[in-house]
Amino acid sequence: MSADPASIGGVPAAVAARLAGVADDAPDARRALAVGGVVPALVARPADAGELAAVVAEVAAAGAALVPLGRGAHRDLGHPPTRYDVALVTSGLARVVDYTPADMTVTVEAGATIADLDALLAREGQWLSLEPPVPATTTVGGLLATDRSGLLAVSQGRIRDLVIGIRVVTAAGTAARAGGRVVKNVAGYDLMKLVVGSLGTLAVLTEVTFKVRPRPEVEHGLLLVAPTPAAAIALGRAVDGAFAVVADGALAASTSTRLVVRLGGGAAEVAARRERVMGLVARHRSTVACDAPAGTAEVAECFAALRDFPLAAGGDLVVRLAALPDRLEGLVCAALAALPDSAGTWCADVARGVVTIAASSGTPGSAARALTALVRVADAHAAHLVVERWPAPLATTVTVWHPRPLAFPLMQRMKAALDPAGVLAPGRYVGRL
Amino acid sequence: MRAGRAHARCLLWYRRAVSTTIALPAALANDLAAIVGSDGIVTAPAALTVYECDGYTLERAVPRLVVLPRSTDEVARVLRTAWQAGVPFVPRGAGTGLSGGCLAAPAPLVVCTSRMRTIRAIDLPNRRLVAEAGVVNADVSRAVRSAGLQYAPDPSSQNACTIGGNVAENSGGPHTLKYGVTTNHLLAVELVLPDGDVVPLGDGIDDDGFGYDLTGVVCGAEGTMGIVTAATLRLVPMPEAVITMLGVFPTVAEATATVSAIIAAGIIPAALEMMDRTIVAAVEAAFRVGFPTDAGAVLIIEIDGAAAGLAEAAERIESLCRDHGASRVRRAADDAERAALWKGRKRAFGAVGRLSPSYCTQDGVVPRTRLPEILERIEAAAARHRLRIGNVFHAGDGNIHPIVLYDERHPDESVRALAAGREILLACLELGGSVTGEHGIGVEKMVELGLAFAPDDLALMQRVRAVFDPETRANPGKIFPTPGVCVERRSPGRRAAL
Repeated sequence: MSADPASIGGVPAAVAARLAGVADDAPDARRALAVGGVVPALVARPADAGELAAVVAEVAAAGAALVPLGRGAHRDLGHPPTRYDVALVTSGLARVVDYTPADMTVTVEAGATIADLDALLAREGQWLSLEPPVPATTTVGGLLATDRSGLLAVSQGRIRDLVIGIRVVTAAGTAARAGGRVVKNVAGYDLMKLVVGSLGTLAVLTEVTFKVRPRPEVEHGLLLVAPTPAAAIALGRAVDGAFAVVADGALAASTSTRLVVRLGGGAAEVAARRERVMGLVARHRSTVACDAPAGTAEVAECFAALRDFPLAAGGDLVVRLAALPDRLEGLVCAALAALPDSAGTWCADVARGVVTIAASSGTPGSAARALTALVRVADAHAAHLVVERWPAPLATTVTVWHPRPLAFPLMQRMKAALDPAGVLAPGRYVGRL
Repeated sequence: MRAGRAHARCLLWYRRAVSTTIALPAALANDLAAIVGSDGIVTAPAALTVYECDGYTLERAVPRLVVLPRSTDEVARVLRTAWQAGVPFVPRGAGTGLSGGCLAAPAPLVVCTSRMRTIRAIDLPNRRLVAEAGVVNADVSRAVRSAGLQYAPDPSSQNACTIGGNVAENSGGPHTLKYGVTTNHLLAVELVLPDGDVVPLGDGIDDDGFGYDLTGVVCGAEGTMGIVTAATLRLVPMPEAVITMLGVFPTVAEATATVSAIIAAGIIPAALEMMDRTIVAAVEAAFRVGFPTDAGAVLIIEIDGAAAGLAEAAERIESLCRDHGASRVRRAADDAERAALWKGRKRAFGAVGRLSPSYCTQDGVVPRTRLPEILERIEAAAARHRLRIGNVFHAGDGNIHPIVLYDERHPDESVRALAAGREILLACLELGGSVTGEHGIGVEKMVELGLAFAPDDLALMQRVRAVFDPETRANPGKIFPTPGVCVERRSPGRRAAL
């Protein structure tokens, strides 16, 4: 793909004329918002949902294409757009629309960051029980688009379980909504599910309503050390009722492995669960490296590092594998064995059956060899594989989501129905939808 | 105002929808019998009347033909045959729905999944179970109880309703406050599209963003996207301990304030159910479960989870109840007492039958903090229409179920009961809520859906429907308000309910 805006053609000029006021074409601003190596011709920064709808309508009318972005923190995920004329930046839509703590719901615009939302909720002793990576630069819209629920999903639910209402702008520039602000609601289709994880390819989010929860009374961290990855995962599988159970280690199969158990709830409940985990430690030939409340520096730093792992881990190749939970041990061991010479780290959500591997491959060629090996491992364990980071702009030969879902023809029809002209992030998603 | 005009435009008899039923080719019954066997097809008029309605009884339409396939393959062949014949169909499970979602009109063909009762797989290590559409909800939990697991969604019809119907309606139950509804426990479904294609949506792996979440879209679509023939369900551990309490309050307002106080204290009970004086009196007269009949309201509060700390939480709740005016707080001493409390709650609707010749239940939702206002509005509607309205509801979710008592032998009373129910739903919308929390739109609330959403919202939903069902063959005439097929109801419809 060329990075030269002139090659995008004459359409953006027409769009630009009509978008004067919300869009600019300064080269630095455009280059800063490149996606998969593709540089947009224009950057539009609408101030509210009305302006945003107008931008989408103009882009659609011009036969051009846009990619919605919040702060751009997650844009490495996905194929490069097949066309990218306008970067549609939602960070101007960051208002809190409604927050009634006693209702345990909050409605915010899509450009608000998770860190801001967390701070708002914390003042009332509540939280959005999701911990996506890099909350300071993750927007609500980016969170939903990428569906990165984080490590608490196994106990607190995924994003799809916590979103109860949305407002969107369709590919034609029409505002629409689904769901509402009440926690129980079966009026109309659940379009929230469709938008979550769709990487901006079906509609542009402008507003989201979440269910929130009271912050747990007590949170506690247990940092355990097991002799091998297999032992750590086996220990983790024996732990029940934790907020999160995460194993992590280096890409060398024989090294000792850390298991982090995060507990939360009432003081008595947490104490009882902690006792039970401690009882398991010796039986799994493991030791306790740290046993402290979540606020302790060591525990807090550990939780934050695990949370940010998909984006912050070193290495130029990041691959995520997901399988049935009881296959995780075999999956991790096979994946480590498949990358004998790689330097790097891995991090596994033991209860969900997900492992993320971050390796230093050096070149696209060696990354391709590592990926081929990991695809074989994924297939052998009936696992999903997602390429989350690649050494260079993604080559067309790389399949980001493997294998192709069986319902892919329906997904193609969905994209064609909601975005027939390919205005919204074209080519970015599964199977280049 | 807007509501009044919309209703004024809708002055057609519901019989009209029934009379526009689509014709059935003569050969279709034989073609379908060849697929499912002669015992899998219902054509006799007397037998067909069993399928004339679900738990929503106002509108009835006797189907022309009912097919009872035994397998996904048979469902696929049935739908393909119907597709080729140009005949739309209505999916049906046990027929316990409460909004007319499986009314056999205008589509004349009912495809009933009640014979698909196989639990295909139980995967204990991964806490998953694959159930065919006709498996009864309670049988799922029964199948895994010995392993200490359960299927959390527990609609009150759980001894009859099927998993297929639960998926179609995104069913809830008294324990949704803590555990969520069907969609939160659904990992994958097997869907038969209206043209007979079988499509697995999801593979049971609990992954983030791996293709569009079509499972999530199909759940709650009320059978308008095809027929779900099997579902991969998430199982959860049974709680270590359960404590059930009964709080007795002088007034509904004090009980409602207690609900807010419990939530504000950071406690999320498994269930928080309220009954007002009218309902308590009816339940006590019918079942003698020990509810004090002089109370203005009672709250059933259930907490569950880890044994450690649960008793302390119960003590906190009890003191919050007393702080907010409770005259008495009782803790169920054992399972038998707990069962008695729940029996009183779950049979509240049956008990109401003793108070009044007819009654109908509404289903609306408001944000929890607006409960006092909606209760005032309900009282005002009762006064204005000279009716008695009892209240039993899922207080923790803000999901109200006002029960309007009337006498259907007096047409004027029926009309007033209907008007009161409608006013209450419109009040829910005004207060920022929804016209249905768990019963669905079906045929009952198509007009109300048109008030809850703008035309552009509904147009987007219909574009999504067309992805699955471009010819509108799956359960046509449901959910979406269709100009000209509106219904004038002359009496409220619901007896059975939750």
